[in-house]
Amino acid sequence: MTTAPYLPGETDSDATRALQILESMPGHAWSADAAGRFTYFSRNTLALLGNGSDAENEFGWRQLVHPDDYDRVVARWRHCLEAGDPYDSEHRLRRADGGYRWVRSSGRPSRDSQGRISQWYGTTIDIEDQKRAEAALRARELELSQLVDMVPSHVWRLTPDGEPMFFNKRMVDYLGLDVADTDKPGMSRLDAVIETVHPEDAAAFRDALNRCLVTGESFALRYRLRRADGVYRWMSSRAEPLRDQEGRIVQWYGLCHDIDDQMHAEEALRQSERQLQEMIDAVPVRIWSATPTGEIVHFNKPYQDHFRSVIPNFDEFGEPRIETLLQVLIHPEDVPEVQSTLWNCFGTGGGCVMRFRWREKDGDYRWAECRVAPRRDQDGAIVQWYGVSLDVDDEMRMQEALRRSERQLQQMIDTVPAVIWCTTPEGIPCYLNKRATDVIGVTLKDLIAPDGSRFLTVVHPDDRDAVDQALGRAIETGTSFVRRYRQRRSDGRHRWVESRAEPLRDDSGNIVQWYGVSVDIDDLVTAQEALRDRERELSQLVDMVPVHIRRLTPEGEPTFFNKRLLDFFGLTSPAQLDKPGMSRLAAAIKTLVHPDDAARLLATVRQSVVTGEPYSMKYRMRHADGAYRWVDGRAEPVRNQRGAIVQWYVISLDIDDEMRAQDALHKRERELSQLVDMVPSLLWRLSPEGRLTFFSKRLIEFTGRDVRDFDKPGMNPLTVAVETLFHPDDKARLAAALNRSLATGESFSLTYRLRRADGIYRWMSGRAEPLRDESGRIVQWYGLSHDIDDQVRVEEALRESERQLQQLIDTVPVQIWCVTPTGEPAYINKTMVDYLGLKLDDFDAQGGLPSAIKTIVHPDDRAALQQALMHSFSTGESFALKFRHRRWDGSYRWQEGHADPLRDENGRIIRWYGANVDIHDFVTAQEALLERERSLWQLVETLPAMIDCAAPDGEPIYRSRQLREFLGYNLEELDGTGKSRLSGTLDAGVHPDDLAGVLENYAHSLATGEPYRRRHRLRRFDGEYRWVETRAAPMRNANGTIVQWNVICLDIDGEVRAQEELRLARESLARASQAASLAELSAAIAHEVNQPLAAIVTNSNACQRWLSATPPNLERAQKTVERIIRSANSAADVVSRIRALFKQSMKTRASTALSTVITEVRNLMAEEAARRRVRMDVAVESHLPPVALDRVQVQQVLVNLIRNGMEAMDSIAGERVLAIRVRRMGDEVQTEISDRGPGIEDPERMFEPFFTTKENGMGMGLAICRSIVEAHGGRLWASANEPHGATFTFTLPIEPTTAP
Amino acid sequence: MNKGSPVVAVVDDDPRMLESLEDLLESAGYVACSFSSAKSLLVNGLSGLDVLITDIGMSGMDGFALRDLVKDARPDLPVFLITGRHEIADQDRVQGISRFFRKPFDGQALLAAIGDALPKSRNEG
Repeated sequence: MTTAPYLPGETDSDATRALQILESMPGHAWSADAAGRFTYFSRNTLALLGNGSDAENEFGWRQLVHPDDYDRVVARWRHCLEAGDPYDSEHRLRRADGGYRWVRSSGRPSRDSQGRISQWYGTTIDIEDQKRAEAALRARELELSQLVDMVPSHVWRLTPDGEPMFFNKRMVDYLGLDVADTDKPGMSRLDAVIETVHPEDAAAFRDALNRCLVTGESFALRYRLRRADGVYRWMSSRAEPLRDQEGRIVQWYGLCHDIDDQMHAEEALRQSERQLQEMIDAVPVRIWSATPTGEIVHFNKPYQDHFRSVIPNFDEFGEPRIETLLQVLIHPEDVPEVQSTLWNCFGTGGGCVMRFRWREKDGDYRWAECRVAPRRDQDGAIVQWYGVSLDVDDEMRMQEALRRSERQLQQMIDTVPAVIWCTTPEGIPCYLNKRATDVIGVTLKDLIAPDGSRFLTVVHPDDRDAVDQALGRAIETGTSFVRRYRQRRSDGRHRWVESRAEPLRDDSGNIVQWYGVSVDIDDLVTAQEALRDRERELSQLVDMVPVHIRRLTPEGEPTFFNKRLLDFFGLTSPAQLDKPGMSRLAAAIKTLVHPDDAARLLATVRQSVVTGEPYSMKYRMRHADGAYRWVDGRAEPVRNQRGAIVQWYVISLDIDDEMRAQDALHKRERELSQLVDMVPSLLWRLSPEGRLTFFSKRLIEFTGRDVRDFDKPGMNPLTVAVETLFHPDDKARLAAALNRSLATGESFSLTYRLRRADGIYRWMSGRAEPLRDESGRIVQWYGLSHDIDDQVRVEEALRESERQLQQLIDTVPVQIWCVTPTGEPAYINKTMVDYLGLKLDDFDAQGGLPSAIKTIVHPDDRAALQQALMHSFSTGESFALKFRHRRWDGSYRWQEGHADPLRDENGRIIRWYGANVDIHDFVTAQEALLERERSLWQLVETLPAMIDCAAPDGEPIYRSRQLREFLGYNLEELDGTGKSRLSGTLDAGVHPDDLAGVLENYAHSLATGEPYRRRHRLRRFDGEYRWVETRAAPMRNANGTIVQWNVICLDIDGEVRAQEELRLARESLARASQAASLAELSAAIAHEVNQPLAAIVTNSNACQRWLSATPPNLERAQKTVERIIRSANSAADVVSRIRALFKQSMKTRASTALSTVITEVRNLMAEEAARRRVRMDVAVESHLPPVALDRVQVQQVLVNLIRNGMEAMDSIAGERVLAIRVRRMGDEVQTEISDRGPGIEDPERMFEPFFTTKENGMGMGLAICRSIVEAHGGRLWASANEPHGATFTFTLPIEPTTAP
Repeated sequence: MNKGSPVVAVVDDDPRMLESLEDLLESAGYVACSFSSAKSLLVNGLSGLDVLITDIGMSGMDGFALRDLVKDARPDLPVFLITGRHEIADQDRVQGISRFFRKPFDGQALLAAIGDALPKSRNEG
């Protein structure tokens, strides 16, 4: 290295001073050129380094820099040289003494004006001491770090805001991640750490940590932390903050301790504890524990459930105390003892067992056993008391029951009036009850022989062997022992006992013991014997009495037959009768009783059994030999004191012989009775006194009654019978005849009507004869009634029929006659006799028919009659003829005679029967009718009206001559046109304009039956249509059905035309009066005049303008003036027309009755009056002479005045009356029209033209009225009414006058 | 007659009135169009009209109805009513109507009223 040392003393003082500073500073200063070669070292540097600089190596540093640092330093220096960066490095520098020391070298470039590095200046400071200190520190830090890492806990550090800064190695190993690994995108380190905490603990961890971070409190938490292998382990973590001097938290240091095993152990413990608890709670006993002093600490669940069920408000009970519970839960009787036992227990420390009754929820008490025991520690001190309560109720109750039962048994055994004993299985007595000793006076050992076998010393010597053998046999075979024997009593007497013994076996069937009982039956046996004796006697008695006796249960079952009965039946016992499926009673009856009687008997017995009534009945029983014998059976119940039936006793007596005798009698009686009954007559018998004693069966059937039916208290049976049986009309007769016969003994014979059961009376021929005894006394009356009703009725019917026929023939209004085949009169009926005034006898028998005819037939008809009769008689043909007969009064009357022959079976005529009917009136009526019809016809045909008849459907069936002539054709002429006559006629005849209406109206009438009326034009034969009025009305029959329409058709052409004119006139008047009053008329006139006037004025204006124009337009002015003239003429025309109007009215003046005009006007105004609610009061004097007037004009005057009057009353409140008075006043007819309006002010002025009080009137009306009236030569004036209103009066002269 | 003169339509069923009014209007320099009924006016149309004069009492559509109809179609068109019937003139509904003339009327007064009704410019033309 080529170094040019900067030599001191060569520069100025500043440089010198700088150099001095450099040289004296406690370090080394140096400079180097741009290439890095040192150009200067401060003096002490040289001293330090010595002269060992080696120029061969780069920068000459090889010798100076520690080989370990060399490459690094050189590289750095080279880099700085190239880049111009400041140079700093620490390295070991070799000192002159060969030792290395740590230095820090720093260099900065110095640049020239071009910015090129010209020189490097630097310092090198010895930092050996620092380096040593640092190394020492590092070693210590490493040691600490190892310590931290080796601590068997997780150690970690957090920033004050909770970011993890450090995990120790154990923690890193555990988590499998270092702090650096917790740098995860999007989450803080803490969150990353929390992720490793068990999800269930994470929230708690975060919350606790955050709270600590905020408050600075210590952190302590248990949580599960995930190990690198994914397993969570419990950790107990604690952290404390490190604070600086100001108390600010600088760091958090945490420690995390693995407590997983502890936790698991704890968990296991808890689990075990829980299970125990559950077990304790689940065991079905009540368990409690208490402190050594008896404070209850725990009741298991069954206990608590029990409390809750018993003590309604247990949950509000608070801490249950033993005393309270005792009071509440334990039976009051047991409380004191339980209490004392318990306190004694607690006091002495000994356990106890108590039984007491415990209250259950339903208020019952159950027995419980409570066992209490202490637990002691090693020192023997009591730690806890435990109690368990068991429900021992069933046990207690069973025990109690057992005890009770045992006591009762013992009592029973000791007190039963029997000797009770036991033997060994071998039969050696081993027990005797107290009574045995008392009664028999023996003890157990008395019964055992010296050899140990049984010794039945108490048994009667006569019975002893048998008893012993029986007992021995029983014991041998194990079967029951029953024996009666005599037993010696303590008093030495023997009494009958009944002994029974039964073995008791163990489970395997071996006999363990024999139990025996000996009952004293001595009284019983004795009584039985006595009874048996008596019974035998009775039985004999029963068997010997000559009657059948049997006994039935209350239900009727036979239980006993006496011997006779058994013998009778050939039985030995009633039980022989038993048959399966039926009661013994039924079986007995079925077997032993005659089939005809069995059902009856069974029913009777059952009936009696049910009702308790005795029964008595005769029936047949079958003897052992099979023959049935009649018996009379009777049964009676035996009742006990309470009245209940205990037995039925039945006896039956053999009554067969009697029954047979009776039977024979019956049979004979029946035969006779049948005989009597079969006689086809009604037989009866009376006692001599007249009492009915017998009716034969037929009579009973006929009358529906027997003789008994007539027995009525207090009445004679015969009378009753007569009343009941005989026709009312015959009663008296019958009674009389009967009584006479009874009194005299004469035979009775009478015909009468007897009432049958159905209420019908039949005729009878009755006869009765007395039967007398030897002494001639009447014993009985025997009677017979024979039905003769049919004969009587036939006879009656015949008689009736004959009578009726006769009546018929006599009363028919027909003359009936009968002649022989040759014509001899044989019979004429009463009618004919009366008619002719002759009897059959009156005809000359010799004269015969001709004579008869001559007598009674009109001379003009005799020949014809004679001939017709002869013809019929000879030929046998029926006769029919009209002829005149002479009546009794001598008048001849027309008859219509008919006769027919009656023939015998050979066809020969036997008789002629004839009938004459008087048809005189009919004939004459017909003649009269014919005459009338003819005259009516003529009337109809000649009537000045056209008449038409139509069928109900409207078809014409007749037209009168007038109509035919009018139409010009006959009814039939339009036939064949394809139309009906009706439509043909209508189409052809009715004016086309009227046809539709006629058809419609006519059809309506035909359909409804309403009368038809219509005017129309009808075509006359000459083609002229004339107005006719057609009216049609239906003709109905009695039922109201239309049988014909009668139509009349009047030619009213003249009237219609006149009316038409009238109508037109009236229409024009109506139009005038409706549309306009005279005032309005004048308005119309004004308009008519106004039009031309307006044109004139306008034209005049125009003309003026044409003339005054510059230059004047003369042409137009000329034209306009022409128009003015024309319009003016037209106005004049209007005036002329108005005048003409009045002129015309002069011509139409005619002599007219004013009253008709008044009536017309009144009718015309009626509607308006009604609308204005005005009453018109019209009074017209009669017989007014006619007045010459123009009807229309006078009408207008009247209308005007009436309307004025009505209008005047429009505004008044009172009654609106318009009075019209017409009367003659001398040569005038005066008409007054007065109203009740407000009246008038100026009676004269109002007639002036243009005077008006009305808003829209012109004031012309009254003026015109006055002019009209005056034109007629009359006057019109007005006057005021009192109290109000106005009267207008006008007069018209009677004599026709001409207007001036 | 000048082109551009105001056009006055006249409706009346009396030919003499039509003639005389036409004459009067022409003498005042208006173009007069005559119609014998409201219907014939309406057939002709309302365009081009400056004033309408109509009689009231006419068969068919009367003057009031025509006026009401014209008021709807041409609210700006002045309408003059004329009548010879005094009972119409006395009716309430014509009271207070200024453009109303009772026949016979003063032609000068009618012309003056028409002049007033027309807009100034039209009037001058």
